[in-house]
Amino acid sequence: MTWTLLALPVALFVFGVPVFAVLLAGATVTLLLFMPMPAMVLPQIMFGGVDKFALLAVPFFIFAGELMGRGGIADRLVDWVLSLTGHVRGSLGMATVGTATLMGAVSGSSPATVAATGRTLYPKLIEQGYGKRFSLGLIASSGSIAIVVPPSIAMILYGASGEQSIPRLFQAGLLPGLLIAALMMGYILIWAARTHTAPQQGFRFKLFLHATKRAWAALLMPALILVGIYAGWFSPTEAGGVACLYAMLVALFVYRTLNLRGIIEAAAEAAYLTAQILVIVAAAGVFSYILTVNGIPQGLVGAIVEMDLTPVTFLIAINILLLLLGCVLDPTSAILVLTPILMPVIAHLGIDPIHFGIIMTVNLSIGMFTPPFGLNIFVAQSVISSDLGAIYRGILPFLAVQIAALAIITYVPAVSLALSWIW
Amino acid sequence: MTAQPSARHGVLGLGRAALRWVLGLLLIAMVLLNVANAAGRYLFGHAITGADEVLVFSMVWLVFAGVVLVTAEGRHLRLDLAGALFAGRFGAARALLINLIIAVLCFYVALQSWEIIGRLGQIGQRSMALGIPMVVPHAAIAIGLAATALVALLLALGQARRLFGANGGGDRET
Repeated sequence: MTWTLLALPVALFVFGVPVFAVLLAGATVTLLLFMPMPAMVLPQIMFGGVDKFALLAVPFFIFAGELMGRGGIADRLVDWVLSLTGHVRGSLGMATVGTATLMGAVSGSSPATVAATGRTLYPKLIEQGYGKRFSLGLIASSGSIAIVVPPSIAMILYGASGEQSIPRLFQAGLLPGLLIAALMMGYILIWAARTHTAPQQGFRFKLFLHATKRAWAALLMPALILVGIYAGWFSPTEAGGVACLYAMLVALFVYRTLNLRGIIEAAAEAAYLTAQILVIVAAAGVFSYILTVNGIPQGLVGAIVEMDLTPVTFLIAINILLLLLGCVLDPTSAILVLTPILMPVIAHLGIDPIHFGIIMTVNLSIGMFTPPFGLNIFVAQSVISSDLGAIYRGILPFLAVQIAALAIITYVPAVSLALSWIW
Repeated sequence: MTAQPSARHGVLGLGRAALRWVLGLLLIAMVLLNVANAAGRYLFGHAITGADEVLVFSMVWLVFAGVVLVTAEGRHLRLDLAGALFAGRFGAARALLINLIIAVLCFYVALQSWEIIGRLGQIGQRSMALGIPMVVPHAAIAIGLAATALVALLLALGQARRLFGANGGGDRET
């Protein structure tokens, strides 16, 4: 069975077969050759894979991202962040991370953030001499912050699957998200100093005020989303729809950057990108099911439990396991497969389930841009039309930075739990 | 002699553009329904009955109808490392093989999906909130993947014609 679940998918993937077909082929061949089950489970599980209310956040937030990009909202956010950081070396790189963090606070979807920042900032990064490889790596990796900064689709799925409070998970994700952003900005600062990248402009309060005046409606968007969720006006998934409507109204009536035709075109593109991504989620659901039925994730976890590890060593082992799984499985599938299996283990070891949810989310967010299968890599490829080799090479330093952030988040629980202690 | 293929491409292009607009309008309708539902619940204490169901089923259709477009435009997410290794006729043969793999897989899953639709129709299963026949959302997979298989097969046929035809072109990929 190893060849149908490992060798065949890897071979097809390297050959250039679309990711959804790779996963579907591995699952279908395994089912037909080795499992006494009717093949009718294939479409049933595919249906179940996308028949989830929480997943509605994906098209909504992608649409919100499209509207932000086409409607000039993202541009205004970028200008506002630049007015704050423009006097620093590497300011445009830092603005990319800052924009990804702000977008994360609106969209909660890593692919949507990569799509929006890729479209808006990649040409500017190239123009400012950041280089293709660095820019691609920066855009693909900074998108992962969106999963950690609340609202987060991954946390919604973890909370639903592990019966944990979603608002508490959101609260716990805030500082880790900011920590990752700060470390990435620190790396960009060092890189810019070493490569003698010139600052964009000096800090001028007048410029900052002007940028704030231009961007007030854009800046209100993350505030509306987060206040709306915490005030109980709407669920985290519904927040996606609210973000779209708000962006539509701002683009139509405040900035007047889009007309109705432009809105429909943005929606059509969002629907297209949604299909590109969610068909992989549907196929990954089938692949995960076949893995689970054959006891592969359980076997991996069982092997870890049998080693009789302390919480510290268990967390090292689980970090390695999740990073490896994150490279080949999408976070949605990984969370849905692993959370019910891991919850008894972490309860046995006395690890806080909210802290563990953040560790899992950060791990899988790193998996979103870890070669070879990280989804953000393909989104960046799709949006920027670049070759994968350059993206892979560009990602490596940012991967190291985020693994360092993961180590801090894992071994300093206060980073995740401090807000819940005082709030 | 050239009028026929261009007319065919014109019709296909129109079909693709029409499908894109339908999907865009569907997504906008989903957004409005979602916001109306949240607003109704918060402002008037009444959610729209079955709104969640309609939204999720619409998303299923959006995905599987969208896959037809993505396949037609050859823009599925994939690893393209092998692309540089397969140039000319080898590249065309690779693209042909990939489209055949997509066609076979999608056709097989669509076939299984038809079986499910038949059974759902027989037992008359309906959704919980609005009583929508479950055949409706499940048909998205059957129809979407069958159409995807057809599109992939047509692309493969075109590639085979170029590869094995008189001119022996073979320099185009998916």
